[in-house]
Amino acid sequence: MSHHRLPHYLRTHRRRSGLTQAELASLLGASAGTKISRYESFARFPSVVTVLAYEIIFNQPVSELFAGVYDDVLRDVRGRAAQLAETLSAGPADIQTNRKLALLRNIIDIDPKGRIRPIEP
Amino acid sequence: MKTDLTVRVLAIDPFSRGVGFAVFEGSNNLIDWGLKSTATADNRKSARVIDDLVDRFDPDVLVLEAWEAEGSRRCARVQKLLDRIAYGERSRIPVQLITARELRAIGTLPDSGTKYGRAMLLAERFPELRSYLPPFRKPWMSEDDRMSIFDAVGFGIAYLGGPMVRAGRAANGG
Repeated sequence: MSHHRLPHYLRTHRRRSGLTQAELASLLGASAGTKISRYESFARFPSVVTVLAYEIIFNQPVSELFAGVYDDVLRDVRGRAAQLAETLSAGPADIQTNRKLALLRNIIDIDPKGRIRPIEP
Repeated sequence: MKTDLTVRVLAIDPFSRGVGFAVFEGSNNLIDWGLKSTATADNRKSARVIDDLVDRFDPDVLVLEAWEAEGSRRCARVQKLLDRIAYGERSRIPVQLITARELRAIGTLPDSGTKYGRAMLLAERFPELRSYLPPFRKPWMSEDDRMSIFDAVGFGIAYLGGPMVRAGRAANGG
């Protein structure tokens, strides 16, 4: 059982769509397919604007397109959320703190598909 | 696309001037495929290409043809290459060998099913492979390099199982 997903699946989606690197480059507003090649070989990471363009083009959420990166970020944020929750819990409990703790609990409990449950009032 | 945590499989099929490959994450999720050319029949270059693929995809299993099994007709050079990949000192990941018989268990083709018939079946199953399906091979033609992609996909499917293999086993009485 693999415990890691690839950092991203940009190449998979492009090839499934039948687009060439040059065609995708023109959709992304890049001058040549070289940039696409670098993204797909994990040599370079696209900008936020390009990432959003990828989401629009392939109609897939960023968390699925960049599945491995998402997993890493999720793990890190969860760890930091747990730390912050611990710190806040040690302090005085007021309405504001409880609200923050509810948010942090939701972050810690994000399901594997990346859905965050709405914050309970 | 299914991206749940699952086994990542790299299937390799060397040909005369390079290596055909397919990468799966589950039997229904073909994540990459293609041909890597080495220009010449050179085992050192082929081994380097395979190393690069392993580095890039970080697979859990490497799937190869069982070159010593009955039904395999690989040349001495490719046999040596496959042997080196499977048993060499540098082998870093588990290797699974697929026999010709296991390959024939894909889909509903009878045992007499041709390699081309299997390729058509795989192209039907994975529409993204349709553009790679070579023209039907006439008796005087040598095999198209692109058939290596379909062989690699076949190895991956045979290893992972799934509906195509179950249907083939039922049709072949196995």
